[in-house]
Amino acid sequence: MSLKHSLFHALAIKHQDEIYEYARYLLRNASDAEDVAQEVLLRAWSKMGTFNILSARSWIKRTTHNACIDLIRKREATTNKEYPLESIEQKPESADGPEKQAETQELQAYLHEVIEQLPDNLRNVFVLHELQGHNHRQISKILQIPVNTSKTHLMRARQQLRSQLKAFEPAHEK
Amino acid sequence: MKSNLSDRVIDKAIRVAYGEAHFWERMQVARWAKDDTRILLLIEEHRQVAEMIRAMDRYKLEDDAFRNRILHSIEKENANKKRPFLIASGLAGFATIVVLALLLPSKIKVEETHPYSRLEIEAATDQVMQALNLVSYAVNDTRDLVQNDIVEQRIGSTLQKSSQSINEHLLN
Repeated sequence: MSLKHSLFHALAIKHQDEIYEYARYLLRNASDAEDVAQEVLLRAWSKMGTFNILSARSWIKRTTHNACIDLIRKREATTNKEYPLESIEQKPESADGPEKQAETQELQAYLHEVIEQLPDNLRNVFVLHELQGHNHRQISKILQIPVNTSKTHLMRARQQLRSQLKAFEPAHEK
Repeated sequence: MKSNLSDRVIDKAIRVAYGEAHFWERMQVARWAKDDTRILLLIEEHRQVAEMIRAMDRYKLEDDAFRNRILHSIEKENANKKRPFLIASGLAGFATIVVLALLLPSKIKVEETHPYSRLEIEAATDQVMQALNLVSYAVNDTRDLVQNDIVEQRIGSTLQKSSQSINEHLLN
């Protein structure tokens, strides 16, 4: 295996889930997110050696963001198709009773839904910071926004999330 | 009635709830919370949200299937990268053939300005040689005839007879 192959392999293993997760929240669709993840990794493969491997994470995230935006624009231009929210993967059996499990699953699904329904600018910052662990300086580079804007968006996203989750009631309690 | 909490206070309270605040920020928020229980409530609510997010199931790819797709795509892309070279070499070969096809007929034309082909020239050479051989044979034959028959027998014997008759006249 060549050095290029080895580096790419390491890069793909390390970042593929992050790329997919970010794309999934931006696109709100599993198969599109998978396509974007594939496209980003292929771009990474063809650009290997042209970008700094030490700042690969930011490069990858920026490329993912752009690929998602391109896809959203294409989607808007071609159809008015609604992309339904996919059901969240089944959680493995736990020691909790079935009622508790159902409630947890419901809350998980609701949480994903709430994040996905955040306004684009707030959601991008929230996912990058909260789920993917980027700091505001990195987010500012990835999204090309000022650091303070990133901070404000994060605060607003958190506030929206809190008020949305306060309204959550499990189905069986309604 | 208390006024709404300022953005600065809310921001710091949220940072405390998410565990991002520095020591001094935490002290400051604790001091504010003593005077305003809404801050305590805010911190508690955000703390719960933060816990939910941390415990949230994460979107993940189906590892093997995705990796196979990537590997397949890379192989395809590599093959596509090689294709232009194949096309280029094919085109180069085609161009060479075209150039040769354009150049060679003009060379052949130069050679074709000669009225006879190589085979015709060789055949003609053979015929000439045969003709020369015939002439040479005829000349040799004629020479022999002159030397042996005409000079020796006819002229020679006549001269001999003449000289004999002259001798006889002289002797007599």
